[in-house]
Amino acid sequence: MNDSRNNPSAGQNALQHFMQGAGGRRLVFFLFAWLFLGLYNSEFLYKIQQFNLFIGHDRLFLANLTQQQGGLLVYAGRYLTQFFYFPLVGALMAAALLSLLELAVAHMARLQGYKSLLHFLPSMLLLLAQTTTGYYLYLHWEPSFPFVAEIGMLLVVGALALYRRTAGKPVLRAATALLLPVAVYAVSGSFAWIVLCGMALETWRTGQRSPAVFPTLLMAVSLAGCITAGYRLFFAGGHAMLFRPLPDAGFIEPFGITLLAVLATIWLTARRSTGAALKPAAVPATGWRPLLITAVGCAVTAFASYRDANFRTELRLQRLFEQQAWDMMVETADQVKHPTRTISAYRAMALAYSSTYSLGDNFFDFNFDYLPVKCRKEVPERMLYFADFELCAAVPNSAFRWNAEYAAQYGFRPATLKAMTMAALVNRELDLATKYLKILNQTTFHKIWALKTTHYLNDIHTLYDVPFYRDIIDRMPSEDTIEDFNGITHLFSYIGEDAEMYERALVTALYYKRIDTFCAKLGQLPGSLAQNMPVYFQEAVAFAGLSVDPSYLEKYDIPAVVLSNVREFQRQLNATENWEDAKHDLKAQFGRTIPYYMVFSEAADYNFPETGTGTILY
Amino acid sequence: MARINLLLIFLTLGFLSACTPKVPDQTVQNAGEVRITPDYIDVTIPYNIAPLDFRVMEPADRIRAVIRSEQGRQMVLRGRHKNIDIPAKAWRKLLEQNKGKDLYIDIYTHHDGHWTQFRPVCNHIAAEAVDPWLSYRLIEAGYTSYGATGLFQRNLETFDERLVYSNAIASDNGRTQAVGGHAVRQHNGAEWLFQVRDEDAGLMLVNHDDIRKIEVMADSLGGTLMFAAYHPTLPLIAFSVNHNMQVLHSTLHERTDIIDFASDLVLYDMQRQKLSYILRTEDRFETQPVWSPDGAKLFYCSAACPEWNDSVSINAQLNMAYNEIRYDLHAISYDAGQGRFGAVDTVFRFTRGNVSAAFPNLSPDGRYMLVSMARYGSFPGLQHISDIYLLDLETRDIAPLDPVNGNYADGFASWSSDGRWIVVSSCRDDGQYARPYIAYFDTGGKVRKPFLLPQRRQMEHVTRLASYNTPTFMRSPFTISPRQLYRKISGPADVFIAPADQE
Repeated sequence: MNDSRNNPSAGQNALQHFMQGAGGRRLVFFLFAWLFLGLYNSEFLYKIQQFNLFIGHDRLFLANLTQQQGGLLVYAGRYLTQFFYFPLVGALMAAALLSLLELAVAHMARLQGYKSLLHFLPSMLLLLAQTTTGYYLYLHWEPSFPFVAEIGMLLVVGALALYRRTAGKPVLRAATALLLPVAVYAVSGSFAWIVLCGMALETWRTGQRSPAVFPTLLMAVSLAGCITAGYRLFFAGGHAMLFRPLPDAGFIEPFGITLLAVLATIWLTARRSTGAALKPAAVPATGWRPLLITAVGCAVTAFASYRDANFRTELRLQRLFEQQAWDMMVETADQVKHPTRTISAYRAMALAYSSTYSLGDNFFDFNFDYLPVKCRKEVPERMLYFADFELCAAVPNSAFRWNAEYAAQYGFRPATLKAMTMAALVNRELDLATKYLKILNQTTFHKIWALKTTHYLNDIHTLYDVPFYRDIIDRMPSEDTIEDFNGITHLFSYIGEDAEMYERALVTALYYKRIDTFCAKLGQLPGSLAQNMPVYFQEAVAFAGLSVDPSYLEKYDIPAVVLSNVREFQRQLNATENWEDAKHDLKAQFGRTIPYYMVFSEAADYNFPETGTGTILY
Repeated sequence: MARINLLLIFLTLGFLSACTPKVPDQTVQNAGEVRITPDYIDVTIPYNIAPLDFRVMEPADRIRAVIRSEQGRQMVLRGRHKNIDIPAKAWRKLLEQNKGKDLYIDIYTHHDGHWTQFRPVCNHIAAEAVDPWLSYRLIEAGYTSYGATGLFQRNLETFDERLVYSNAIASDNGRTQAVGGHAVRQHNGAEWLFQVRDEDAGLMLVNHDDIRKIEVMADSLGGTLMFAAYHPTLPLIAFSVNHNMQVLHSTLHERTDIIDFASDLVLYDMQRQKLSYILRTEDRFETQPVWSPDGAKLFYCSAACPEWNDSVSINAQLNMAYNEIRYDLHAISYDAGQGRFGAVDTVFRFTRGNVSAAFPNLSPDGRYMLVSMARYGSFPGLQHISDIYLLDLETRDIAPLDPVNGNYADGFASWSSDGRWIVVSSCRDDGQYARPYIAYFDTGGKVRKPFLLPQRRQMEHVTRLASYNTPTFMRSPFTISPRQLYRKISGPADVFIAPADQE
């Protein structure tokens, strides 16, 4: 020891020795898991914790958890999920648990030589299960799933290792078979099923079927079944309860493979439990090659994870949205070649709030041929931009807080409460803001935001000093009207006194290809504003004049060059027989103009409020 | 040995006395009123109510509270994190020993190295008990989403709250349902009803252990059964059939609204399993029926229907007309012998004062009527300005129920079975989330300051993001389990009904 301290080459040798052994492989895996989660998936982790409102000591919150099987595990999972607020910290915990799982598997399986590399398999698969979520994240309302899966599997492997140690002791084995599943069930609900399966496999494989074991196993199965059934299975379709808190259908493939890997390990290594001396491996797993194989395994995990660029951009935009970095949002969105609808929606919000960009000038300078989202499971696309997009709408107008409430029904989340607080503040509902802030104050990390925001309660006028709030307060509707539920359109369709509101309404009408509505709203525009239209609006008027009603052309002074371009566009469009060819040719010739958008962009599928009905072109 | 025993006894006594909080002997007097939340000061409470746990809002590092009355042992309590949690048994005993007397709470706070004693809080213990159960729906406060909506019952003598049925049960089983309003017959939890909308829709009638699912041909009705009133003696239920729409306001403070497009009254005969119209008018809306205690009259709210113009979009029309829809209080006589309804009478013309009446609720003696009053419409809980009014049907005097009304919406009020207690669904605390406040109504027709439904932790009212909707006192609890209800709801209907004149 002293030698290595004094002698650098000895230290180097020790490090080399460590890296070439099991310790090196474990270090590589741990660092990979930590950095892959904490750096590459940092926005994803941050988003997960946005769904997680943890008020650990609240009786209602606790009651909600304790009424479901595996509530204790979910509680622990929810507690740890809070730490994704700082993704590197949360990732450190997750990586530590994955490494612990590898250690537990190694302790149980004790594979030798190169086979010992398989000890990493369950951990890698579990990491993969967590990072292949993608868009399914929005549908999965239980935010604790990464930690629940990790702790649950750790418990399973721990229980099975304990069971294995009872080999050759029939009475102890029978007692373990009886108690272990019940104990695991009490803590982690349906993870007990995996323990039961593992124990059955172990017993079958080792051939140590003492008379007591099978009846005991049967008892354990029955007991766990009774507990499950008695708990909440009384509802007819209680299958969802039966498997709680195992990760749900969105994760079932990778998680299922992880389970199979664990059970296969039991099956393959069961003979070892007979107590027979371990044969030394023919080829010991030392040297650089095993380390390289581990690194390759990590690389494969990273490669197989969900790495959709648009998904990552959306998460980034959501984070920027929270930071109110409007210009950065526009820049980020503009860098995307083939955006999704969500990216477009966030860009629109950023344009509306930005002081650098203009909604009217910049909105249509974008690719609206949306790329559909890629997800293993079918995800309704509207949902993806609904939550945050409408939360934004909730802020300027208290009426839209119902959207926040919509999110709240699945277990309210910090982002929802923050939006509700902001809405209450701009509307000067201080009692209501106080209520929401009190709740946020009980969280571990979101209380930081709550504490920063609380000072507005003492002097609400200071809210106006913040540009974001000032912008909203200045644009708040002054006239009370009622409308039906059409969330997204409300953000832009309200016509107030200022020019920006008019602009929003006009852009909204164009966005939804309601050319009649556009012209009608344009007609309400004060004269000076109407004569100072951006070129996109001029194109829209020309397009409306040439395709719907020629009188529009008489009302506004449209430059001749715009008019002739639109006329030529239409002439060529009418002459074409091949739609796809025309799409490329017209874009090359005229650029991404309003007529091009009207004809070729994907139709927005949103129901427009009745007040805004108009002709839908194409 | 004896010495050791003696020592042990002394040690035990010493330990116990150290654990028992003492009343501070050297205090600075503060003549001011102590700030506590909920506001349990100068309220009248029933002797069977659960402990009124509260939180002291004064600066303090230590707190003592002494709860005392004329009879019985006083309680000396230590505050934990400024919360005073009252032991249930001792509280119950103290209240029962002091019916009709005052209850005092002395509060001591320790701050800056000295104890301060505030002016004692004085509450009154009524001689009458309150009905021990309260049923209500917990709904999302905006009335627009319903994923977490559920019907609950709460034991007022303890903190026990039980789920009766919730939308979450349906969604857990892959169904989308909305738990509609409920009604209880004569405050008896053995006979009650509630509605289920969306998937497996139906009217659920519960009579002891018997659950019946009634499927109503909604198309033939032109709306859905909404507000129900059991006849006090006969197997009849009056319903309003409403075709309405939820809308959003663009400005503060009224966020959402529910506007009637059509509403009529129907009568369901449970024995004959027959539905018939009571009132079916084209030019008026009729809604929210309530029977008189003798069953000879049916009170309801009635408004003139705006003239809808088909050439204008519905949103534009609503914007022109929604705040002109105002309801008066009407009544129609009922001859139980003939089984016929008679003439319509205007009980009180609220529209004369440009206000609208909603949710009439008659006292058990039939003399007083609680009415919620708002600027327009029949959903006052959605308007900040709404208040509860008391209408004396003998003198026709009407007055705001002032100690009960708060700064925000007070949208619904109902009576206990003996008429001595009123429960109000009030948004007074934050303007958005309605909570149940209970007030004593004395024999002289005066109402006392209400108190908030006690919870084990004061924060529970804060963290609960739901409104208490239509709270109703009950003498006995619902005994049907959620499981039984779910099974019945997800099964086929027992009875299919359509209005008689359309059969």
